[in-house]
Amino acid sequence: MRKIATGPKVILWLFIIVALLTGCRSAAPPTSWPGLTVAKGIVYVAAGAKVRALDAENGNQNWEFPGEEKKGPFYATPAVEEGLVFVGSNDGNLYALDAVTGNQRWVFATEKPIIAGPAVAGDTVYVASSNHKVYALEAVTGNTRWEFATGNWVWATPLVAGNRVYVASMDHKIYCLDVENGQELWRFEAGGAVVSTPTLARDTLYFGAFDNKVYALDMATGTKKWEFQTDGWVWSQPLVVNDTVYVGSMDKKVYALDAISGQKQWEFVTEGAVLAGPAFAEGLLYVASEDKQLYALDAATGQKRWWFTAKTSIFTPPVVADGVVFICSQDGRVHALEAGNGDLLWAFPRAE
Amino acid sequence: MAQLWNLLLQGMVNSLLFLYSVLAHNFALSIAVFTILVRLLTLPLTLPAQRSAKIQQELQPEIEKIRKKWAKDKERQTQEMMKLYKEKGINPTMGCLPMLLQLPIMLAFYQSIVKALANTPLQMISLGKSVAPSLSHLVPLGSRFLWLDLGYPDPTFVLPILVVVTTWIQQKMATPPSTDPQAAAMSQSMQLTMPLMFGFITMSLASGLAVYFVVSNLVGIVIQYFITGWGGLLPQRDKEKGASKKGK
Repeated sequence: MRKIATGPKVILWLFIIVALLTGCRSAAPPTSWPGLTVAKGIVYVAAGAKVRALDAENGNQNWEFPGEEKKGPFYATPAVEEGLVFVGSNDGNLYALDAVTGNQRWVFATEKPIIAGPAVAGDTVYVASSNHKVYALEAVTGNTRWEFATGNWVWATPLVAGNRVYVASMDHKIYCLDVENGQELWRFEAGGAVVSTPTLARDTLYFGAFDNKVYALDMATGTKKWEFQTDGWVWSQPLVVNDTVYVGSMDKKVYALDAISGQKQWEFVTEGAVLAGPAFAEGLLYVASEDKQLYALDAATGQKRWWFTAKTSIFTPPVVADGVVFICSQDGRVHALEAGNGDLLWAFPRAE
Repeated sequence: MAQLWNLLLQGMVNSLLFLYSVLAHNFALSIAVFTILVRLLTLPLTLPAQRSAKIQQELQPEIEKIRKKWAKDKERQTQEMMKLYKEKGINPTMGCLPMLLQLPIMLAFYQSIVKALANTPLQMISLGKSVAPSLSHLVPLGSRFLWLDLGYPDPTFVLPILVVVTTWIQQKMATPPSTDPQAAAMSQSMQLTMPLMFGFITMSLASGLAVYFVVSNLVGIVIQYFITGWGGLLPQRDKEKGASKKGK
Protein backbone atom coordinates (compact mmCIF):
# COMPACT_ATOMS: atom_id res chain seq x y z
CA MET A 1 0.00 0.00 0.00
CA ARG A 2 2.84 2.41 0.81
CA LYS A 3 4.47 1.79 -2.56
CA ILE A 4 1.28 2.65 -4.39
CA ALA A 5 0.73 5.80 -2.33
CA THR A 6 4.25 7.19 -2.81
CA GLY A 7 4.01 7.75 -6.59
CA PRO A 8 0.95 10.02 -6.71
CA LYS A 9 2.16 11.90 -3.61
CA VAL A 10 5.48 12.68 -5.27
CA ILE A 11 3.77 13.72 -8.51
CA LEU A 12 1.36 15.93 -6.53
CA TRP A 13 4.21 17.66 -4.71
CA LEU A 14 6.16 18.16 -7.94
CA PHE A 15 3.07 19.58 -9.60
CA ILE A 16 2.42 21.99 -6.71
CA ILE A 17 6.03 23.15 -6.60
CA VAL A 18 6.30 23.70 -10.36
CA ALA A 19 2.93 25.50 -10.40
CA LEU A 20 3.97 27.78 -7.55
CA LEU A 21 7.37 28.58 -8.97
CA THR A 22 6.31 29.15 -12.53
CA GLY A 23 3.51 31.40 -11.29
CA CYS A 24 6.04 33.65 -9.63
CA ARG A 25 8.55 34.11 -12.46
CA SER A 26 9.67 37.67 -12.06
CA ALA A 27 11.89 37.43 -15.11
CA ALA A 28 8.86 36.85 -17.37
CA PRO A 29 8.19 39.59 -19.93
CA PRO A 30 6.11 42.25 -18.22
CA THR A 31 2.74 43.49 -19.45
CA SER A 32 2.72 46.75 -21.34
CA TRP A 33 1.47 50.15 -20.19
CA PRO A 34 0.28 51.75 -23.42
CA GLY A 35 1.50 55.17 -24.48
CA LEU A 36 -0.62 57.51 -26.65
CA THR A 37 0.25 60.67 -28.58
CA VAL A 38 -1.72 62.64 -31.15
CA ALA A 39 0.09 64.83 -33.68
CA LYS A 40 -1.03 66.31 -37.00
CA GLY A 41 -4.12 64.14 -37.32
CA ILE A 42 -2.31 60.92 -36.48
CA VAL A 43 -2.69 58.88 -33.30
CA TYR A 44 0.53 57.14 -32.32
CA VAL A 45 -0.01 54.33 -29.86
CA ALA A 46 2.66 52.10 -28.32
CA ALA A 47 0.97 49.09 -26.73
CA GLY A 48 2.14 45.55 -26.12
CA ALA A 49 4.84 44.73 -28.66
CA LYS A 50 3.68 47.20 -31.34
CA VAL A 51 3.81 50.89 -32.15
CA ARG A 52 0.98 51.91 -34.47
CA ALA A 53 0.01 55.02 -36.39
CA LEU A 54 -3.75 55.45 -36.75
CA ASP A 55 -5.74 58.04 -38.67
CA ALA A 56 -7.33 60.26 -35.99
CA GLU A 57 -10.41 60.72 -38.20
CA ASN A 58 -11.42 57.10 -38.49
CA GLY A 59 -8.93 54.87 -36.68
CA ASN A 60 -7.56 53.32 -39.87
CA GLN A 61 -4.06 51.95 -39.38
CA ASN A 62 -1.32 53.64 -41.42
CA TRP A 63 1.56 51.48 -40.26
CA GLU A 64 2.86 49.36 -37.40
CA PHE A 65 6.31 48.75 -35.97
CA PRO A 66 8.03 46.33 -35.77
CA GLY A 67 7.07 43.99 -38.59
CA GLU A 68 7.94 40.39 -37.85
CA GLU A 69 10.76 41.01 -35.36
CA LYS A 70 10.12 40.90 -31.64
CA LYS A 71 10.55 44.22 -29.81
CA GLY A 72 8.98 45.80 -26.75
CA PRO A 73 6.83 45.56 -24.75
CA PHE A 74 6.32 49.32 -24.84
CA TYR A 75 5.53 51.40 -21.75
CA ALA A 76 6.65 54.77 -22.99
CA THR A 77 4.52 57.45 -24.62
CA PRO A 78 5.83 58.17 -28.14
CA ALA A 79 7.11 61.65 -28.94
CA VAL A 80 6.71 63.10 -32.44
CA GLU A 81 8.86 65.85 -33.96
CA GLU A 82 10.23 66.74 -37.38
CA GLY A 83 8.87 63.70 -39.15
CA LEU A 84 10.24 61.28 -36.57
CA VAL A 85 8.50 59.20 -33.91
CA PHE A 86 10.62 58.44 -30.85
CA VAL A 87 9.58 55.57 -28.63
CA GLY A 88 11.37 53.79 -25.81
CA SER A 89 11.00 50.09 -25.20
CA ASN A 90 11.29 47.65 -22.34
CA ASP A 91 14.12 46.02 -24.36
CA GLY A 92 16.24 49.08 -23.40
CA ASN A 93 16.23 50.69 -26.85
CA LEU A 94 14.99 54.06 -28.00
CA TYR A 95 13.66 53.70 -31.54
CA ALA A 96 13.47 56.61 -33.97
CA LEU A 97 10.88 55.81 -36.65
CA ASP A 98 9.82 57.58 -39.80
CA ALA A 99 6.49 59.21 -38.89
CA VAL A 100 5.05 58.53 -42.36
CA THR A 101 6.18 54.95 -42.99
CA GLY A 102 7.09 53.60 -39.55
CA ASN A 103 10.50 52.50 -40.85
CA GLN A 104 13.29 52.49 -38.29
CA ARG A 105 15.77 55.36 -38.77
CA TRP A 106 18.07 54.68 -35.85
CA VAL A 107 18.18 52.95 -32.50
CA PHE A 108 19.89 53.94 -29.26
CA ALA A 109 20.61 51.25 -26.67
CA THR A 110 20.53 51.96 -22.92
CA GLU A 111 20.73 48.28 -21.84
CA LYS A 112 17.92 48.66 -19.28
CA PRO A 113 14.15 49.11 -19.77
CA ILE A 114 12.94 52.49 -20.95
CA ILE A 115 9.71 53.24 -19.12
CA ALA A 116 9.60 57.01 -19.58
CA GLY A 117 8.49 58.70 -22.76
CA PRO A 118 11.18 60.77 -24.50
CA ALA A 119 11.01 64.56 -24.72
CA VAL A 120 11.97 66.45 -27.87
CA ALA A 121 13.11 70.06 -27.95
CA GLY A 122 14.70 71.60 -31.02
CA ASP A 123 17.09 69.11 -32.56
CA THR A 124 17.59 67.14 -29.34
CA VAL A 125 15.72 64.18 -27.92
CA TYR A 126 15.97 63.52 -24.18
CA VAL A 127 15.46 59.97 -23.01
CA ALA A 128 15.60 58.47 -19.53
CA SER A 129 16.26 54.84 -18.70
CA SER A 130 16.10 52.33 -15.88
CA ASN A 131 19.92 52.38 -16.04
CA HIS A 132 19.53 55.53 -13.84
CA LYS A 133 20.61 57.88 -16.65
CA VAL A 134 19.10 60.55 -18.81
CA TYR A 135 20.58 61.11 -22.28
CA ALA A 136 20.51 64.06 -24.66
CA LEU A 137 20.70 62.72 -28.22
CA GLU A 138 20.87 64.31 -31.63
CA ALA A 139 17.35 63.83 -32.96
CA VAL A 140 18.47 63.13 -36.53
CA THR A 141 21.28 60.66 -35.83
CA GLY A 142 20.81 59.39 -32.27
CA ASN A 143 24.37 60.43 -31.36
CA THR A 144 24.90 61.24 -27.67
CA ARG A 145 25.39 64.90 -26.74
CA TRP A 146 25.58 64.35 -23.01
CA GLU A 147 24.36 62.04 -20.30
CA PHE A 148 23.55 62.52 -16.64
CA ALA A 149 23.42 59.80 -13.98
CA THR A 150 20.88 59.91 -11.15
CA GLY A 151 20.83 57.54 -8.18
CA ASN A 152 18.03 55.23 -9.34
CA TRP A 153 15.64 54.31 -12.14
CA VAL A 154 14.16 57.19 -14.12
CA TRP A 155 10.57 56.41 -15.10
CA ALA A 156 9.32 59.96 -15.66
CA THR A 157 9.56 61.86 -18.94
CA PRO A 158 12.19 64.63 -18.71
CA LEU A 159 10.72 68.11 -18.91
CA VAL A 160 12.50 70.61 -21.17
CA ALA A 161 11.76 74.29 -20.65
CA GLY A 162 13.93 77.10 -21.94
CA ASN A 163 17.54 76.30 -21.21
CA ARG A 164 16.77 73.73 -18.51
CA VAL A 165 15.87 70.06 -18.30
CA TYR A 166 14.02 68.77 -15.23
CA VAL A 167 14.55 65.11 -14.43
CA ALA A 168 12.53 63.18 -11.82
CA SER A 169 14.25 60.08 -10.47
CA MET A 170 13.28 57.22 -8.21
CA ASP A 171 16.19 58.25 -5.97
CA HIS A 172 13.59 60.72 -4.53
CA LYS A 173 15.14 63.68 -6.33
CA ILE A 174 14.24 66.22 -8.98
CA TYR A 175 17.30 67.44 -10.88
CA CYS A 176 17.49 70.69 -12.78
CA LEU A 177 20.09 70.42 -15.56
CA ASP A 178 21.59 72.78 -18.09
CA VAL A 179 20.09 71.87 -21.46
CA GLU A 180 23.40 72.48 -23.25
CA ASN A 181 25.72 70.20 -21.30
CA GLY A 182 23.72 68.34 -18.65
CA GLN A 183 25.42 70.17 -15.77
CA GLU A 184 23.40 70.02 -12.55
CA LEU A 185 22.02 73.42 -11.50
CA TRP A 186 20.02 72.35 -8.46
CA ARG A 187 18.30 69.34 -6.95
CA PHE A 188 15.34 68.86 -4.64
CA GLU A 189 14.79 65.81 -2.47
CA ALA A 190 11.21 64.60 -1.93
CA GLY A 191 10.16 62.10 0.73
CA GLY A 192 9.73 59.27 -1.76
CA ALA A 193 10.51 58.08 -5.27
CA VAL A 194 9.39 60.40 -8.05
CA VAL A 195 7.82 58.86 -11.17
CA SER A 196 5.41 61.70 -11.85
CA THR A 197 6.50 63.71 -14.87
CA PRO A 198 6.90 67.31 -13.68
CA THR A 199 4.78 70.13 -15.07
CA LEU A 200 5.94 73.71 -15.37
CA ALA A 201 3.52 76.62 -15.13
CA ARG A 202 4.68 80.19 -14.85
CA ASP A 203 7.63 79.99 -12.47
CA THR A 204 6.59 76.83 -10.62
CA LEU A 205 7.39 73.17 -11.06
CA TYR A 206 4.67 70.70 -9.96
CA PHE A 207 5.08 66.97 -9.41
CA GLY A 208 3.98 64.12 -7.16
CA ALA A 209 5.92 61.46 -5.26
CA PHE A 210 5.63 58.09 -3.52
CA ASP A 211 5.45 59.91 -0.17
CA ASN A 212 1.79 60.63 -1.15
CA LYS A 213 2.53 64.32 -1.69
CA VAL A 214 2.14 66.85 -4.47
CA TYR A 215 4.98 69.40 -4.52
CA ALA A 216 5.31 72.90 -5.93
CA LEU A 217 8.88 74.20 -6.35
CA ASP A 218 10.39 77.45 -7.47
CA MET A 219 11.70 76.59 -10.94
CA ALA A 220 14.75 78.83 -10.62
CA THR A 221 16.07 77.61 -7.28
CA GLY A 222 14.25 74.38 -6.45
CA THR A 223 12.92 75.88 -3.23
CA LYS A 224 9.67 74.32 -2.03
CA LYS A 225 6.64 76.62 -2.26
CA TRP A 226 4.06 74.21 -0.89
CA GLU A 227 3.16 70.54 -0.58
CA PHE A 228 -0.19 68.78 -0.50
CA GLN A 229 -0.77 65.45 1.23
CA THR A 230 -2.93 62.76 -0.43
CA ASP A 231 -3.63 59.23 0.85
CA GLY A 232 -1.78 57.37 -1.90
CA TRP A 233 1.29 57.49 -4.13
CA VAL A 234 1.12 60.35 -6.62
CA TRP A 235 2.14 58.90 -9.98
CA SER A 236 0.08 61.15 -12.24
CA GLN A 237 1.56 64.17 -14.03
CA PRO A 238 -0.11 67.31 -12.66
CA LEU A 239 -2.01 69.48 -15.12
CA VAL A 240 -2.13 73.23 -14.57
CA VAL A 241 -4.99 75.22 -16.07
CA ASN A 242 -5.24 78.89 -15.16
CA ASP A 243 -4.52 78.89 -11.43
CA THR A 244 -5.56 75.34 -10.66
CA VAL A 245 -3.44 72.19 -10.43
CA TYR A 246 -5.28 68.96 -11.28
CA VAL A 247 -3.60 65.77 -10.13
CA GLY A 248 -4.58 62.14 -9.57
CA SER A 249 -3.48 59.88 -6.74
CA MET A 250 -3.41 56.17 -6.01
CA ASP A 251 -5.92 56.97 -3.24
CA LYS A 252 -8.50 56.79 -6.10
CA LYS A 253 -9.06 60.54 -6.13
CA VAL A 254 -8.36 63.42 -8.45
CA TYR A 255 -7.68 66.73 -6.74
CA ALA A 256 -8.06 70.33 -7.83
CA LEU A 257 -5.56 72.49 -5.92
CA ASP A 258 -4.91 76.18 -5.88
CA ALA A 259 -1.68 76.63 -7.88
CA ILE A 260 -0.43 79.43 -5.64
CA SER A 261 -1.21 78.08 -2.17
CA GLY A 262 -1.78 74.34 -2.66
CA GLN A 263 -5.20 74.60 -0.98
CA LYS A 264 -7.71 71.97 -2.08
CA GLN A 265 -10.57 73.35 -4.18
CA TRP A 266 -12.38 70.07 -4.75
CA GLU A 267 -11.79 66.33 -5.05
CA PHE A 268 -13.50 63.63 -7.09
CA VAL A 269 -13.49 60.00 -5.99
CA THR A 270 -13.22 57.18 -8.56
CA GLU A 271 -13.31 53.44 -7.90
CA GLY A 272 -9.65 52.84 -8.66
CA ALA A 273 -6.17 54.38 -8.58
CA VAL A 274 -5.76 57.47 -10.74
CA LEU A 275 -2.34 57.02 -12.35
CA ALA A 276 -2.78 58.98 -15.55
CA GLY A 277 -2.43 62.71 -15.71
CA PRO A 278 -5.73 64.41 -16.57
CA ALA A 279 -6.48 66.32 -19.79
CA PHE A 280 -8.47 69.54 -20.22
CA ALA A 281 -10.53 71.12 -22.97
CA GLU A 282 -13.47 73.50 -23.11
CA GLY A 283 -14.06 73.60 -19.34
CA LEU A 284 -14.01 69.82 -18.98
CA LEU A 285 -11.41 67.78 -17.14
CA TYR A 286 -10.85 64.23 -18.44
CA VAL A 287 -9.77 61.77 -15.78
CA ALA A 288 -8.84 58.13 -16.50
CA SER A 289 -8.97 55.61 -13.69
CA GLU A 290 -8.02 52.04 -12.87
CA ASP A 291 -11.79 51.44 -12.52
CA LYS A 292 -11.97 51.31 -16.39
CA GLN A 293 -13.76 54.66 -16.59
CA LEU A 294 -12.94 57.89 -18.31
CA TYR A 295 -14.70 60.67 -16.41
CA ALA A 296 -15.47 64.08 -17.87
CA LEU A 297 -15.73 66.49 -14.95
CA ASP A 298 -16.63 70.11 -14.73
CA ALA A 299 -13.15 71.60 -14.17
CA ALA A 300 -14.54 74.33 -11.95
CA THR A 301 -16.60 72.18 -9.57
CA GLY A 302 -15.55 68.55 -10.06
CA GLN A 303 -19.12 67.57 -10.98
CA LYS A 304 -19.38 64.53 -13.26
CA ARG A 305 -20.72 65.45 -16.73
CA TRP A 306 -20.36 62.13 -18.53
CA TRP A 307 -18.29 58.98 -18.37
CA PHE A 308 -17.18 56.19 -20.67
CA THR A 309 -16.47 52.61 -19.62
CA ALA A 310 -13.62 50.69 -21.26
CA LYS A 311 -13.10 46.93 -21.02
CA THR A 312 -9.98 47.23 -18.88
CA SER A 313 -8.28 49.75 -16.58
CA ILE A 314 -7.02 53.01 -18.07
CA PHE A 315 -3.51 53.99 -16.92
CA THR A 316 -2.64 55.97 -20.05
CA PRO A 317 -3.27 59.74 -19.94
CA PRO A 318 -6.14 60.79 -22.21
CA VAL A 319 -5.32 63.17 -25.08
CA VAL A 320 -7.72 65.81 -26.41
CA ALA A 321 -7.32 67.08 -29.96
CA ASP A 322 -9.81 68.85 -32.22
CA GLY A 323 -12.84 68.11 -30.05
CA VAL A 324 -12.00 64.42 -29.68
CA VAL A 325 -10.76 62.60 -26.57
CA PHE A 326 -8.45 59.69 -27.29
CA ILE A 327 -7.92 57.02 -24.67
CA CYS A 328 -6.06 53.72 -24.61
CA SER A 329 -6.97 51.06 -22.07
CA GLN A 330 -4.63 48.41 -20.69
CA ASP A 331 -5.74 45.88 -23.35
CA GLY A 332 -4.22 48.24 -25.96
CA ARG A 333 -7.63 49.26 -27.34
CA VAL A 334 -7.85 52.87 -28.53
CA HIS A 335 -11.15 54.75 -28.30
CA ALA A 336 -11.97 58.10 -29.91
CA LEU A 337 -14.79 59.88 -28.07
CA GLU A 338 -16.69 63.08 -28.72
CA ALA A 339 -15.15 65.46 -26.17
CA GLY A 340 -18.46 67.16 -25.36
CA ASN A 341 -20.63 64.14 -24.62
CA GLY A 342 -18.49 60.99 -24.71
CA ASP A 343 -20.09 59.47 -27.82
CA LEU A 344 -17.87 56.79 -29.34
CA LEU A 345 -16.53 57.83 -32.73
CA TRP A 346 -14.33 54.84 -33.41
CA ALA A 347 -12.29 52.14 -31.68
CA PHE A 348 -9.16 50.30 -32.68
CA PRO A 349 -9.06 47.39 -33.20
CA ARG A 350 -12.62 47.49 -34.51
CA ALA A 351 -13.52 43.81 -34.14
CA GLU A 352 -13.83 42.32 -30.67
CA MET B 1 -10.88 34.50 1.08
CA ALA B 2 -9.11 36.77 -1.41
CA GLN B 3 -9.17 39.56 1.17
CA LEU B 4 -7.59 37.29 3.76
CA TRP B 5 -4.88 36.32 1.29
CA ASN B 6 -4.19 39.97 0.46
CA LEU B 7 -4.00 40.77 4.15
CA LEU B 8 -1.43 38.00 4.70
CA LEU B 9 0.55 39.19 1.69
CA GLN B 10 0.37 42.80 2.84
CA GLY B 11 1.62 41.83 6.29
CA MET B 12 4.54 39.94 4.84
CA VAL B 13 5.50 42.68 2.35
CA ASN B 14 5.52 45.27 5.14
CA SER B 15 7.48 42.96 7.44
CA LEU B 16 10.08 42.54 4.71
CA LEU B 17 10.22 46.29 4.21
CA PHE B 18 10.51 46.88 7.95
CA LEU B 19 13.42 44.44 8.14
CA TYR B 20 14.95 46.21 5.13
CA SER B 21 14.74 49.51 7.03
CA VAL B 22 16.46 48.12 10.14
CA LEU B 23 18.99 45.91 8.36
CA ALA B 24 21.01 48.65 6.71
CA HIS B 25 18.81 48.68 3.59
CA ASN B 26 20.11 45.25 2.60
CA PHE B 27 17.27 43.32 0.98
CA ALA B 28 19.21 40.05 0.73
CA LEU B 29 19.71 40.19 4.50
CA SER B 30 16.02 41.04 4.99
CA ILE B 31 15.03 37.99 2.93
CA ALA B 32 17.44 35.81 4.91
CA VAL B 33 16.22 37.01 8.33
CA PHE B 34 12.57 36.82 7.34
CA THR B 35 13.07 33.32 5.90
CA ILE B 36 14.55 32.18 9.21
CA LEU B 37 11.66 33.78 11.14
CA VAL B 38 9.03 32.19 8.89
CA ARG B 39 10.71 28.78 9.10
CA LEU B 40 10.82 29.03 12.90
CA LEU B 41 7.20 30.20 13.10
CA THR B 42 6.03 27.32 10.91
CA LEU B 43 8.04 24.82 12.95
CA PRO B 44 4.95 23.58 14.84
CA LEU B 45 3.49 22.67 11.47
CA THR B 46 6.54 20.90 10.07
CA LEU B 47 7.90 19.25 13.20
CA PRO B 48 5.19 16.54 13.64
CA ALA B 49 5.77 15.31 10.09
CA GLN B 50 9.53 15.17 10.59
CA ARG B 51 9.19 13.38 13.94
CA SER B 52 6.74 10.91 12.43
CA ALA B 53 9.24 10.26 9.61
CA LYS B 54 11.96 9.63 12.18
CA ILE B 55 9.87 7.09 14.08
CA GLN B 56 8.99 5.39 10.79
CA GLN B 57 12.69 5.25 10.06
CA GLU B 58 13.35 3.57 13.41
CA LEU B 59 10.57 1.08 12.71
CA GLN B 60 12.15 0.02 9.41
CA PRO B 61 13.45 -3.37 10.72
CA GLU B 62 10.03 -4.26 12.11
CA ILE B 63 8.28 -3.09 8.93
CA GLU B 64 10.66 -5.22 6.92
CA LYS B 65 9.86 -8.23 9.07
CA ILE B 66 6.11 -7.69 8.43
CA ARG B 67 6.77 -7.33 4.70
CA LYS B 68 8.67 -10.59 4.54
CA LYS B 69 6.24 -12.44 6.77
CA TRP B 70 3.15 -11.37 4.81
CA ALA B 71 4.74 -11.04 1.40
CA LYS B 72 1.95 -13.02 -0.27
CA ASP B 73 -0.94 -11.45 1.62
CA LYS B 74 -0.93 -7.72 0.91
CA GLU B 75 -4.10 -7.07 2.87
CA ARG B 76 -2.71 -8.65 6.00
CA GLN B 77 0.59 -6.89 5.46
CA THR B 78 -1.24 -3.52 5.51
CA GLN B 79 -3.25 -4.49 8.58
CA GLU B 80 -0.12 -5.49 10.47
CA MET B 81 1.67 -2.28 9.54
CA MET B 82 -1.25 -0.15 10.64
CA LYS B 83 -1.33 -2.10 13.88
CA LEU B 84 2.35 -1.38 14.40
CA TYR B 85 1.87 2.34 13.69
CA LYS B 86 -1.03 2.40 16.16
CA GLU B 87 1.07 0.71 18.83
CA LYS B 88 3.84 3.30 18.37
CA GLY B 89 1.32 6.15 18.37
CA ILE B 90 2.01 7.45 14.87
CA ASN B 91 -0.32 8.17 12.01
CA PRO B 92 1.51 7.79 8.67
CA THR B 93 -0.99 10.05 6.89
CA MET B 94 -0.76 12.82 9.52
CA GLY B 95 2.46 14.10 7.97
CA CYS B 96 0.58 15.58 5.02
CA LEU B 97 -1.79 17.93 6.83
CA PRO B 98 0.78 20.17 8.53
CA MET B 99 2.73 20.30 5.28
CA LEU B 100 -0.41 21.43 3.43
CA LEU B 101 -1.13 24.04 6.11
CA GLN B 102 2.39 25.31 5.71
CA LEU B 103 2.04 25.62 1.95
CA PRO B 104 -0.07 28.85 1.83
CA ILE B 105 2.35 30.53 4.24
CA MET B 106 5.32 29.66 2.07
CA LEU B 107 3.46 30.71 -1.07
CA ALA B 108 2.51 34.06 0.49
CA PHE B 109 6.11 34.60 1.55
CA TYR B 110 7.31 33.75 -1.92
CA GLN B 111 4.81 36.13 -3.52
CA SER B 112 5.64 38.90 -1.07
CA ILE B 113 9.33 38.72 -2.10
CA VAL B 114 8.30 38.97 -5.77
CA LYS B 115 6.00 41.89 -4.91
CA ALA B 116 8.64 43.75 -2.91
CA LEU B 117 11.16 43.39 -5.72
CA ALA B 118 8.86 45.23 -8.16
CA ASN B 119 10.82 46.40 -11.17
CA THR B 120 8.11 47.16 -13.70
CA PRO B 121 5.42 49.88 -13.47
CA LEU B 122 2.57 47.40 -13.08
CA GLN B 123 4.40 45.52 -10.32
CA MET B 124 5.10 48.87 -8.70
CA ILE B 125 1.39 49.76 -8.71
CA SER B 126 0.64 46.46 -7.01
CA LEU B 127 3.34 47.18 -4.42
CA GLY B 128 1.98 50.69 -3.90
CA LYS B 129 -1.34 49.23 -2.80
CA SER B 130 0.32 47.06 -0.15
CA VAL B 131 2.95 49.31 1.40
CA ALA B 132 2.22 51.14 4.65
CA PRO B 133 2.64 54.93 4.24
CA SER B 134 5.42 54.96 6.84
CA LEU B 135 7.45 52.53 4.70
CA SER B 136 6.73 54.10 1.28
CA HIS B 137 9.98 56.05 1.34
CA LEU B 138 11.91 52.77 1.06
CA VAL B 139 10.57 52.05 -2.44
CA PRO B 140 12.16 51.09 -4.78
CA LEU B 141 14.26 48.74 -2.70
CA GLY B 142 17.99 48.67 -3.29
CA SER B 143 18.25 45.42 -5.17
CA ARG B 144 22.05 45.19 -5.42
CA PHE B 145 23.81 42.59 -3.26
CA LEU B 146 27.37 41.47 -3.98
CA TRP B 147 27.34 40.65 -7.71
CA LEU B 148 23.56 40.22 -7.75
CA ASP B 149 20.65 42.36 -8.81
CA LEU B 150 18.05 40.65 -6.62
CA GLY B 151 15.26 41.46 -9.08
CA TYR B 152 17.00 39.55 -11.90
CA PRO B 153 18.43 36.01 -12.27
CA ASP B 154 21.99 35.35 -11.10
CA PRO B 155 24.17 35.66 -14.22
CA THR B 156 26.97 33.58 -12.67
CA PHE B 157 24.83 30.52 -11.80
CA VAL B 158 26.39 30.45 -8.32
CA LEU B 159 23.00 30.67 -6.60
CA PRO B 160 21.30 27.99 -8.75
CA ILE B 161 24.21 25.66 -7.92
CA LEU B 162 23.85 26.45 -4.19
CA VAL B 163 20.12 25.76 -4.49
CA VAL B 164 20.84 22.35 -6.08
CA VAL B 165 23.42 21.42 -3.41
CA THR B 166 21.38 22.54 -0.38
CA THR B 167 18.16 20.96 -1.70
CA TRP B 168 20.00 17.70 -2.28
CA ILE B 169 21.56 17.71 1.21
CA GLN B 170 18.24 18.47 2.89
CA GLN B 171 16.45 15.76 0.93
CA LYS B 172 19.18 13.22 1.56
CA MET B 173 19.03 13.90 5.30
CA ALA B 174 15.23 13.69 5.37
CA THR B 175 14.96 10.48 3.38
CA PRO B 176 15.55 7.33 5.44
CA PRO B 177 17.44 4.52 3.68
CA SER B 178 14.84 2.06 2.46
CA THR B 179 15.22 -1.70 2.45
CA ASP B 180 12.65 -1.99 -0.30
CA PRO B 181 14.55 -1.85 -3.62
CA GLN B 182 11.64 -0.28 -5.53
CA ALA B 183 11.11 2.46 -2.95
CA ALA B 184 14.89 3.00 -2.71
CA ALA B 185 15.15 3.45 -6.49
CA MET B 186 12.28 5.89 -6.51
CA SER B 187 13.64 7.97 -3.64
CA GLN B 188 17.09 8.00 -5.26
CA SER B 189 15.68 9.35 -8.50
CA MET B 190 13.66 11.93 -6.54
CA GLN B 191 16.78 13.02 -4.68
CA LEU B 192 18.37 13.87 -8.02
CA THR B 193 15.34 15.17 -9.89
CA MET B 194 14.06 17.61 -7.27
CA PRO B 195 17.31 19.55 -6.68
CA LEU B 196 18.01 19.73 -10.41
CA MET B 197 14.48 20.93 -11.06
CA PHE B 198 14.81 23.60 -8.37
CA GLY B 199 18.21 24.64 -9.75
CA PHE B 200 16.82 24.87 -13.27
CA ILE B 201 13.85 26.99 -12.18
CA THR B 202 16.13 29.24 -10.10
CA MET B 203 18.14 30.04 -13.22
CA SER B 204 15.19 32.01 -14.59
CA LEU B 205 13.94 33.45 -11.28
CA ALA B 206 14.88 36.69 -9.54
CA SER B 207 18.02 35.98 -7.52
CA GLY B 208 16.22 37.31 -4.40
CA LEU B 209 14.10 34.19 -4.57
CA ALA B 210 17.19 32.04 -4.91
CA VAL B 211 18.47 33.62 -1.68
CA TYR B 212 15.20 32.56 -0.07
CA PHE B 213 15.61 28.97 -1.35
CA VAL B 214 19.18 28.69 -0.11
CA VAL B 215 18.47 30.14 3.36
CA SER B 216 15.27 28.10 3.67
CA ASN B 217 17.21 24.94 2.79
CA LEU B 218 19.99 25.77 5.25
CA VAL B 219 17.44 26.28 8.06
CA GLY B 220 15.79 23.02 6.99
CA ILE B 221 19.15 21.23 7.18
CA VAL B 222 19.77 22.50 10.73
CA ILE B 223 16.27 21.51 11.89
CA GLN B 224 16.62 18.12 10.21
CA TYR B 225 19.97 17.55 11.91
CA PHE B 226 18.42 18.00 15.36
CA ILE B 227 15.64 15.56 14.52
CA THR B 228 17.28 12.79 12.50
CA GLY B 229 20.98 13.61 12.67
CA TRP B 230 22.71 13.27 9.28
CA GLY B 231 20.01 10.76 8.28
CA GLY B 232 20.44 9.42 4.78
CA LEU B 233 23.39 11.77 4.11
CA LEU B 234 25.82 9.99 6.43
CA PRO B 235 24.00 6.82 7.57
CA GLN B 236 27.28 5.16 8.66
CA ARG B 237 28.17 8.03 11.00
CA ASP B 238 24.71 7.89 12.61
CA LYS B 239 25.02 4.11 13.06
CA GLU B 240 28.43 4.50 14.71
CA LYS B 241 27.05 7.26 16.91
CA GLY B 242 24.13 5.00 17.86
CA ALA B 243 26.47 2.08 18.58
CA SER B 244 28.79 4.17 20.77
CA LYS B 245 25.78 5.43 22.70
CA LYS B 246 24.63 1.83 23.25
CA GLY B 247 28.15 0.82 24.30
CA LYS B 248 28.18 3.46 26.98
